[in-house]
Amino acid sequence: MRRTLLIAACTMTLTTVAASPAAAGGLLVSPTGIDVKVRPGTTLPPITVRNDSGRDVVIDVAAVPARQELSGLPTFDLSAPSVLQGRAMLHASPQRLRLAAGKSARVRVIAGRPPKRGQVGVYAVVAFTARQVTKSKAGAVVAPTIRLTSNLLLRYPGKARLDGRATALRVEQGAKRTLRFFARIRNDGNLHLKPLARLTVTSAAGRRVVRRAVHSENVLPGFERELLLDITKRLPAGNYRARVDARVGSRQSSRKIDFTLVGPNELPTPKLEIVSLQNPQPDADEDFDVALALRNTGTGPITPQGTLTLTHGGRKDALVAKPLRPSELAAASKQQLVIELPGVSPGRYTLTARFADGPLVLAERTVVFDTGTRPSLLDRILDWLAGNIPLLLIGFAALLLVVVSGMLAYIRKLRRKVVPVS
Amino acid sequence: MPFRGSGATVASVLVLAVAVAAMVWPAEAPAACLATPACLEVSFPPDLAWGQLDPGPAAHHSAEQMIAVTSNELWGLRVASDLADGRMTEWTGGAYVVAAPKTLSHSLRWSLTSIDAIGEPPSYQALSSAPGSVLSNRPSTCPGACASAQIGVRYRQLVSFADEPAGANDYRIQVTYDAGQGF
Repeated sequence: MRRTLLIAACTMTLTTVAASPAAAGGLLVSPTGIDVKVRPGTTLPPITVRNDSGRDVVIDVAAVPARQELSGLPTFDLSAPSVLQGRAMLHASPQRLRLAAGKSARVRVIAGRPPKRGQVGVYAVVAFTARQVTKSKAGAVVAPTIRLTSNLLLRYPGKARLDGRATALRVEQGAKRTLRFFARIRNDGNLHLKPLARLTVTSAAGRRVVRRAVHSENVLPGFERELLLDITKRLPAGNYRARVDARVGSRQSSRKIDFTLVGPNELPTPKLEIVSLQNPQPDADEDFDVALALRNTGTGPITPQGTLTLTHGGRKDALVAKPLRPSELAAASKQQLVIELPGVSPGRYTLTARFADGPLVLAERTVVFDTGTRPSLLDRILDWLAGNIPLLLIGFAALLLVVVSGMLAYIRKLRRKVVPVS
Repeated sequence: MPFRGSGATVASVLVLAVAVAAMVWPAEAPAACLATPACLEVSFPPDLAWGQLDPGPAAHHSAEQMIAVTSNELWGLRVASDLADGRMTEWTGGAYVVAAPKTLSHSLRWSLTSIDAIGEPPSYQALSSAPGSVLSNRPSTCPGACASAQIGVRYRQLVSFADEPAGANDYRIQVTYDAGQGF
């Protein structure tokens, strides 16, 4: 019994330990941020790169100038001009390395001259683009590569000017009834800085319900960054005012927004749904209409924008692309659109209605239909007749009436002309 | 008599304790992330081999590709392809065909489908050489001990009847997952 328990315990340990490297199993870079004072020729603290994956890895290293996006992430490109520009201001070595599984290496970066004379702050990334050494597979293959970056914030000698302001505030629905506030801060100075900002939320009655410092992050000169603050404290449904007060350098600024909660920490959010997209059955070369029904199943209004595209068979290029611009859809409301499309030759077509907000697709629906061949003249006449039976009946009755009344008039006339023989 | 076999019992209990600790403790914790002020680790998703892709109106969907990210700062993940329009292109096995390569009519599309095993409503976008944001402003995965965020991505490929078979070659595209922390 004891032996069984011992074996079971050992097995559990081995299984768990064996599972750990597979779970992590990647490429590690550290440090991911270097913020230092430099002069031309200064060697930066080394960056360690370690291969935790189970296979050999080939890594290309490039130091390139970087910008900053709203989320704070660096943006950069690894085009030849950008790499050349990077080499002029930083020297990274080695530029390519092959790391066996479990091995690590250090990458050394030496600062060059700043791109502009007198530039105080220089911003760049060291990008590690890595692929595993594997045998290529046959068939259609999607080959993954990973890229990790280490951000460089380099301060050159010179007079730093710290200036900036809060430019916007917005709130978004987060997971698990979290309110995500984004305070947008602009850096108008010449060196990166971490602004001090504080968020205050007051109820409609003017009572302060939230007062929190916003976690400060670096904002690069000439860029804006949204600083994030998650509020998990449950605020009941109602109207509120949020205000961010920021101190950037010696300047103070603030931004405020009003918002409504429809439930505890629940913002009104729209949810667009395409209830139906008519599957048309047009004849070839004849214009046709398509009906599209929309519904907003969310709790906030939406004015969606979309496109209706018609493509032939499996081709990519759209034959027709019509904008879809419904008016504002209030929460829990419906709207129907009718779109006229030009006639198309016989064949199979795909009709796609798609509503998007930037890259985010809000709703999409596709139907595939066939157009019939153009009917003969006789078929079209018969179709017309079949579609107009009441009109035909009325016409026929009118004609019958005319004929009968004509015949009766003719008979009366004949009777008058006939002279009785006495 | 009461102590007979106590060594084996103690050993069993110890081994069991280690096993339980190993299970309870985040197994995927890379020690370096705890030891250094700022670090980032990203796993390699496996190569995705579609094999033979048949044309038709229905798109081919890939199995979920998992990417594990460990970061002790706010982080984000972007995706881009090596081909500008995201269309899989004829590949000799060592390089793309240069002269008149065969290219699929439709771009490969991707969507975030899960975060830490919780499904996300798919929203497929065409891949391109311009990076698309998979996730941004994600919190540190090391609030105490480090653990990995498990990110699931799926691909969708529509193959047209106009698409030619690659013959002796294959179709290929390289997808780069770009993970970074804010400045």
